[in-house]
Amino acid sequence: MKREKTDILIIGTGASGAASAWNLSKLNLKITCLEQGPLIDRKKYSFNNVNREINKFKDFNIDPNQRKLDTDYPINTDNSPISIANYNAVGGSTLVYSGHYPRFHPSDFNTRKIDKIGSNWLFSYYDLEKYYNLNDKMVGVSGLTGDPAYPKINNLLPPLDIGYSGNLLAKAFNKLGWHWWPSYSAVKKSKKFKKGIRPTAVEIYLNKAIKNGVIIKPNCRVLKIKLSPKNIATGVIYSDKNNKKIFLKASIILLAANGIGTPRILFNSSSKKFPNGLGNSSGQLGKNLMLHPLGYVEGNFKKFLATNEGVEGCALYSHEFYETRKKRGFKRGYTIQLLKSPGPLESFHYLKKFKKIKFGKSFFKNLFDYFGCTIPLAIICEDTPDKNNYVQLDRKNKDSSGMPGVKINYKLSKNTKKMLSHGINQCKKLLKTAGAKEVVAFGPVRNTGWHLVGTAKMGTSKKNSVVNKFGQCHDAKNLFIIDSSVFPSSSGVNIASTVQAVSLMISDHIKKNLTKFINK
Amino acid sequence: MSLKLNKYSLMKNNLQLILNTMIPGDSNMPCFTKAVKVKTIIKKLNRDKFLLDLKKKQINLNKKENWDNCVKILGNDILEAYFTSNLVIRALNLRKKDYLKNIKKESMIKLLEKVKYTKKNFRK
Repeated sequence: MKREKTDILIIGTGASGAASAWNLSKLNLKITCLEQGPLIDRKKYSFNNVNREINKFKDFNIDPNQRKLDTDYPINTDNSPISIANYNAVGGSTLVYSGHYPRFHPSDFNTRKIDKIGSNWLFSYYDLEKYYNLNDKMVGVSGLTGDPAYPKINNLLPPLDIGYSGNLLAKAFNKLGWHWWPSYSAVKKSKKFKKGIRPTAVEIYLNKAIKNGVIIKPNCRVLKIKLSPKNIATGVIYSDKNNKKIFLKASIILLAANGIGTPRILFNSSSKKFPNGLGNSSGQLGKNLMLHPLGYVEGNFKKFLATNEGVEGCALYSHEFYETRKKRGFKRGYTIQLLKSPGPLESFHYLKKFKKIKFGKSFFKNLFDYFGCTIPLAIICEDTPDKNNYVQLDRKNKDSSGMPGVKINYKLSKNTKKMLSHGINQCKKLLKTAGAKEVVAFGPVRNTGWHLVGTAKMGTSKKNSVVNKFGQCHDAKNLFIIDSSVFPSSSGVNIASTVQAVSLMISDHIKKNLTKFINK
Repeated sequence: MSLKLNKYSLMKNNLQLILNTMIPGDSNMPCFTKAVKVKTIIKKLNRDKFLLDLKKKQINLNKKENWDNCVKILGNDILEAYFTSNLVIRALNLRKKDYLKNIKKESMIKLLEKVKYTKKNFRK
């Protein structure tokens, strides 16, 4: 087997891998990033691409089981009401994400302590604040200071226009006396797109890391992490684009393959000493999977409001129902997000599903009764950890390198079901107050398993967790997990901001303690 | 005109008729062949049996079976080509301007005043 050598190895180049690659790139060390997906030209996935709607049904479909690219791995979701959404390429899922950048609430770090549910983190919002601020600066997060739902957030770029639908909805929120605020969005301004474009991990971090000397290797899939008899990670075996196996020796390994990919690699790295998977001495690896079950409520206003335009991810949001209130009958809560309605192509396919559109004379009448006239709302429910929701290897289904795929075993808890139902009722009320003529609602929406959390959780000892508060694996001191798998709770907001803040915090810890971890 | 050219021309005319029946246009939107060249669809179908049949005769679109067949074969391709054509993108923009000219937006900051001072119940 061919052998290579690096000082620091990062597995995965998505939101978390990219942030650490940049943060560590200032050290005078050889840093290599292995990415199972390809390097894709930005023009192909840009939201400004005229073919964007078509791409969503083809190579940029968010469901790996529908995309079926060689660079994807099979994910069996037969045993889950929610399927997994991801993207494997340099930049990871940020190539197809919405660029919505809210932070977790301070209470999200202490759910067990304050609400007797879920698990506590080993650090607080305030410990992470410095990294949230740094990440906001790097990303270019737009928003408005003064949101009563959060501690003060400074140095934001000006908020984006909430549009006609935002205006209508804001008035309804005010009528009901509910909280709302213009959303936090990733914005990168350019000469061509003065309103700003949605940056991905490539533009935010990877391009800068490459300039500092970081090596990115696309189409290279990690199969196994190797361990010395003294429990030191010595390197990885990876398969390159020609399916040749290579051993890459590394002094420090950072795992950033998301809440599904990370346990997959660790399970596949089992050995005589760790027969149930590397990092699984506690039996917690792959367990406590949290997915943010999503409810969808859509109001049709029977007039054109250009709701198909505007902020990509979320124009405004409400945290009226975010914190626990006893009388609601469930613990923790959810975010209400105002989304953009679908473009003409997606509108057609949506209407076709319900037999509400036909080609011919009525084509435009059917289309324009819907297109741009609807306000869609998403309810992002906080999921709580449960050992019965877990990821396991699926040895029957293998990827193009022969590595086993994964199987998801997931059920909605009673708490989440009550939360989802409450959210749907409140959103119906909101849309009717705003003047919607028709309201449709359903949930959980199947293809929304974006936020993959909790499968290698942090904790105080190897008896109850996979990593410590700095993402350091209890089973191997020079192996760090820097993605959302380490989160003990999921929050009720999009996770990109916290994923990157945590990654920056862990890589800062590595920088400060480099001599302790370097494998000589 | 050669026989081959004649057949091609017949097929093109027949296809054009089908396409414009499927997407006929309205007061704001162009019909299909105004926005997309028929050649584009011919290229996409690339010697499909459907095209060969069109060289022989016109299809009776009043027959449900024929209509369903056209929708099945052409549906996705024509939607993609239509909604990514420059003329249609321009038409959608003009339509938008026309519809929104009488709708007024209030200042977001003004709308937020109520939220800023009435909600203090979040756990910090």
